[in-house]
Amino acid sequence: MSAENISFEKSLDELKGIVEDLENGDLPLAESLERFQSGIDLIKQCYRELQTAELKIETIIKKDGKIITETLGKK
Amino acid sequence: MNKLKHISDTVRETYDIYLAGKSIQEIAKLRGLKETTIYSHFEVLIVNKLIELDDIINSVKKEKILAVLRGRDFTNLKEIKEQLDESISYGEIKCVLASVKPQKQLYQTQKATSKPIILESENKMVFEKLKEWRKSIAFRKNIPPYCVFHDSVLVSITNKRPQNKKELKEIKGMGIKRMESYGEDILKILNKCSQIDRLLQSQEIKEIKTYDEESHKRIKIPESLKTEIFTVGEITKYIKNVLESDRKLTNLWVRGEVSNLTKHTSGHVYFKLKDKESQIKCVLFRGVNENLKFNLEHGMKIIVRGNVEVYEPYGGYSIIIEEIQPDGLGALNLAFIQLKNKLEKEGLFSDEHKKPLPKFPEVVGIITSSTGAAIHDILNIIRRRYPLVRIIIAPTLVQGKEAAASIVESIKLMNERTDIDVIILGRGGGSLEDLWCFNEEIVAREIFKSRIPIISAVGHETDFTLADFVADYRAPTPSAAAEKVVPDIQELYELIKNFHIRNIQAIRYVVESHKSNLKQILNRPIFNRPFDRIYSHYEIIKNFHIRNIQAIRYVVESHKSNLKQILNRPIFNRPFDRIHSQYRELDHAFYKLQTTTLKNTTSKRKELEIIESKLSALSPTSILKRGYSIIMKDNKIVKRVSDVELQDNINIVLHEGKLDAQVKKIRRN
Repeated sequence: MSAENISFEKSLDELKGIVEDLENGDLPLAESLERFQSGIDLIKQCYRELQTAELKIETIIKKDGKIITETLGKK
Repeated sequence: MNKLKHISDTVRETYDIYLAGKSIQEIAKLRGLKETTIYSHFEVLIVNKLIELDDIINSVKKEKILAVLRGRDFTNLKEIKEQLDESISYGEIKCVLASVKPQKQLYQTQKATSKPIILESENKMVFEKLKEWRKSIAFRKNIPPYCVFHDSVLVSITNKRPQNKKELKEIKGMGIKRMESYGEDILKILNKCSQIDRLLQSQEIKEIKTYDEESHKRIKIPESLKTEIFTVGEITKYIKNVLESDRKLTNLWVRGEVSNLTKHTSGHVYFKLKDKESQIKCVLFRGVNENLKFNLEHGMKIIVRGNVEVYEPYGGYSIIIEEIQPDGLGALNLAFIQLKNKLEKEGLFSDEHKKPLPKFPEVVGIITSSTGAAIHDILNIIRRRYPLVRIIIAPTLVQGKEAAASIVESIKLMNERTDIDVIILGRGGGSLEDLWCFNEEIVAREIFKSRIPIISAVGHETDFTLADFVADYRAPTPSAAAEKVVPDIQELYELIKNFHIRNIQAIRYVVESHKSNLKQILNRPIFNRPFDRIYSHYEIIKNFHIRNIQAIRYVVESHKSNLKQILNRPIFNRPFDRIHSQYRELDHAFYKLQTTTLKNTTSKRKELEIIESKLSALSPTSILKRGYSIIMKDNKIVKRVSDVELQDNINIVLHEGKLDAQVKKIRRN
């Protein structure tokens, strides 16, 4: 699963899960370190996503029974 | 029966028992009261002419008491009692006093005291007034009356009749809070009562002042006055009953304009609803006001629904409002209300159908006009707050005849897609007519049907449409909807930052705790002093070794010592001792034997010598020496004459030889 494809919400959820797991302190050390690393990766990814995010806008209209989708540029 | 009206229940009970033929003593016993109490009941009964004095006091006693009373004026019962003998009780004196009041009054009117005269029934009236007022407060506040004031407080107020706030404050049970809430009301009531007092006094009512033990002061009101006068409370209560039982005045709708609007800090709102001809007070309690969809303003034209109620303390009537609708839309508004009620009944507005909004939507659908200010605002806000989403706009007519159908179409279109997480349905502000499409039934029903949660955002904050009621969330404006639909990027940065900190803290903690565990393990003796165990084993072995050696040494030693003991025995130590000793014994025996033998031989020799000497003495030779001789015949000694015969040859043995002779004669003796 490529990290780029995960939605922001899922990233946050996962991040939350990682932090909570770590905070529980039940994991073995190796796994903790692994989780920590993936947490750091996710944080970086989230930051990157937020920083580079650009609103994508589309319009849909139904014309003669057909749905026409059109992508708009920056407004 | 009329007379009974003015006596209390407890006196009435005494009266009933008395009528049943019981004596004072019996009544006291039956009721578990003191006789003096029963006497005081009789006193009341006598005053009210329910019983005759003669029925309860014998004429002798009565005359005695009357005689004393006629003598002079008394200020208290004790003085009277002192003039009488022991057999007469206070109770009896009081009853006689009660019976003679009308006469006594004649003596005493000239001496009217300067003290204020307080009527019993008037006190009662004040008390009743206060009670009425308390009841109305309790009703309004929906609490039990005793929570407003306890009876005892009302009694204190009644008795003390405070004239101003300061005096009122001193009454036990008032408190600062109650003083604030009710102080003025109470003083007003008391003031009104005082006015009535003065009115009554101006009627030149004659009264008697009597003293008794309890210093109760009482007086009578002429019958004629009682029957004609209502108290304010009574009449107000009557009016209240009339107004509030009228069906036309309950659940009524009234149209008018708001004026004299007062918003009280308590949350209740008071105003007057007026038109050209008249005005009526309206009360909007907090609970209702909070549910109002718009803010009440001065001059606003409204239609109210409520009940006419009389508020007794002020003696005014007002409409207690239960619902307010803005007036002005006329039929359209009515239609709106009707449709709203219908849909509400169907449950379209109920909370259980409200879908939760996604916290982090990926795709947001927007149903609005592609040209209006609304879309512009929404896009701006979303771009600023959360540019991560994809926006899908369905350009829609949101005004005019075809708007409703267009909105329905767009909702359907959005619902055909699977990627849309949430929909904003709205438009910017406009007149009520402009917004009307959002009140259409088909729109409301389509919103209800939508699988995707819908945020309604129609017009301004004050505009309420049916779409708002059906929608899963009502945003007051399109901008507000945009803010609601997506999270704020700044908050997200904060959130991620927070996660970042927590992540680091957590891993640090994990590492630290492992470290500390490791340290703890390393601190265990096995690591700290690894040879301890070996040493301890070594010690054990060493110990065994020592014990082994010691044991064998002991065994050897003990054998050695045994042996030594054996060797130490005389047989081994001085083996010839025995021989020596036997030698010695032998020597000894030998010596003994020797000496004994020697001794024996010596003694025997001596004995022998003795015997020899004896023997020699005895020997025939020695005898022969002395002249004796021995005759022998045939070598045998002749001892008797008979041993020889005549002519026998015989030998005569003499000392120095022998003589041979022959026997020539025998002579016998």
